[in-house]
Amino acid sequence: MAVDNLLSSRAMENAVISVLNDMAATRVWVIRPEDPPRFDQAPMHAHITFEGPSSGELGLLMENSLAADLASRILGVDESRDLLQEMVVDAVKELLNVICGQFLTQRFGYEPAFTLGVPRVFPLSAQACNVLITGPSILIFQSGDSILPAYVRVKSRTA
Amino acid sequence: MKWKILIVDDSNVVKAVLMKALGESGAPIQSVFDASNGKEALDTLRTESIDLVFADINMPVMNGVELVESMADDPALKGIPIIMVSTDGSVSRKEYLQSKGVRAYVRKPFTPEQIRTVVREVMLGR
Repeated sequence: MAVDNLLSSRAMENAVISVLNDMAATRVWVIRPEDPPRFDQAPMHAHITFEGPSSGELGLLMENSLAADLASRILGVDESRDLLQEMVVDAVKELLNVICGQFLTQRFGYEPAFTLGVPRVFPLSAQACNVLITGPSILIFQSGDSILPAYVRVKSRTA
Repeated sequence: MKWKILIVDDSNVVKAVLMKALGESGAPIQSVFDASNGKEALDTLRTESIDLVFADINMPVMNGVELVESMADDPALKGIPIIMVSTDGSVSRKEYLQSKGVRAYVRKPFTPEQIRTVVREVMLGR
């Protein structure tokens, strides 16, 4: 189980770093702070599930300012003038969708076929997020001055 | 001759990025239609003379695999070139889609150059 978790964690780390670089020209890296960072305001929470030989879920937490920055980079539009909140949410969903696809390839290879759920973005209180990011399956990325916690949980495996 | 292109994806972001890439590709485009799932795509394909389809796999209502199967079973739609654009990396699914007539497969995230190249290969054979 510990090895599985480590492999999943590494695959998630690689997927997030490569997808943010390729889709949003944004460099992120993993940090391992002694004290977990805290959100003062409710961040954006993106979530997706997958099913196949294994099933599970992935999620991202980010402040609205980071989400808007990533969306403007993905779409190639001016963040301050042309970006609607709906576009930000849609961009974050697509980002997580692509991260999930990359994660599955990195973790399980090219052969098993998985079905991805529809990505969802929904609010989660700052308090709930601050509890979530102390969990064992959390990776904390940094992008500039912003943090980007991410989690992956592989729930089950069939033979 | 200018092409009519249909983009099938439930993400408005992907549609916007694909439209931008197509616009910058230099391809002779008459118009670009869009649909959010396979069912909407079939409606458009039956009312418009579409020359090229870009389709995602994971979509609600009717997914990309079901769309490809429906087009393969319909003599009027069977010959329309399809390019899949998906996060899905499964080799077996890719081979199945190609057996159903899919002409090319682009993995997300894609670059504008990949779109330009694949359009040229599929539509012009080079």
